[in-house]
Amino acid sequence: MINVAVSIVLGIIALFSAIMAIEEKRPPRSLLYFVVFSISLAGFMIHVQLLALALMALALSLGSFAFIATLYSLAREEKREKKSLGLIVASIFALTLLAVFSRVELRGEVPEMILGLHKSALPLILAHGVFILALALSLRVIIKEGEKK
Amino acid sequence: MNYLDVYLYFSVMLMAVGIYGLLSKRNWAKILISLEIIVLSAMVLLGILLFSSSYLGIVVGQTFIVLLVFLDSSITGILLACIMLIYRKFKVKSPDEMSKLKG
Repeated sequence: MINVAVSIVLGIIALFSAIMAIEEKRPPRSLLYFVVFSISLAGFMIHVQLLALALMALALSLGSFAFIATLYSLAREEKREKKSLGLIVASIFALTLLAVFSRVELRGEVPEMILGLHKSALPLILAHGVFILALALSLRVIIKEGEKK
Repeated sequence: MNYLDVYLYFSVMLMAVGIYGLLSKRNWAKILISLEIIVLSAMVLLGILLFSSSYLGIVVGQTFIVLLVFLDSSITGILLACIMLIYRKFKVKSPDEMSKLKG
């Protein structure tokens, strides 16, 4: 029961930080919210008993963090705000919640203890993390070379 | 209400937030953040739905999630390559400025 309560709290934190990572205009704070999102999502998965999946999600999102931090030097803040975006997000929420309430029926129970992934998948995930990190570093080197020229 | 329903609603709301960011933001970094949020929400959804079912569900879930990891890395790599090429070729810093692709 405690696991369920903690996972719901962490899920709410993850949802809030995801919204703030998208909506925040200052790049350092947006990146900080993204890190908070990835850590709280990993905590959520751990409390849902998906331990290896949580580690994998954390590795994925922190690898992407390196990419996004590199990309912020190329990006530019948008100045205009569209007022009709509230309608877009409201329609998305309405459609997805309608789909969940009307179509999906779950038959399973809460799993007792699942590690999520087989042990043999973990080296692949580590290799994926190294790949992402190498790509981010090479991107940074390319950008620096371009700035010198 | 089953606890799995709560987790399912959480992942659906997370996916909606990612789709909102993808549709509304005109910033490369925020588009990438939105893509990551969508991929992670799909991972949560698949993990919870498939790992909580039978043995076949566990096997299929592991396959799907390993596939999703490598799909995510390839999506990120291709997107970054596209961004770098567009930046070098057209010298634009925003997707709004890519008017040369409109034909």
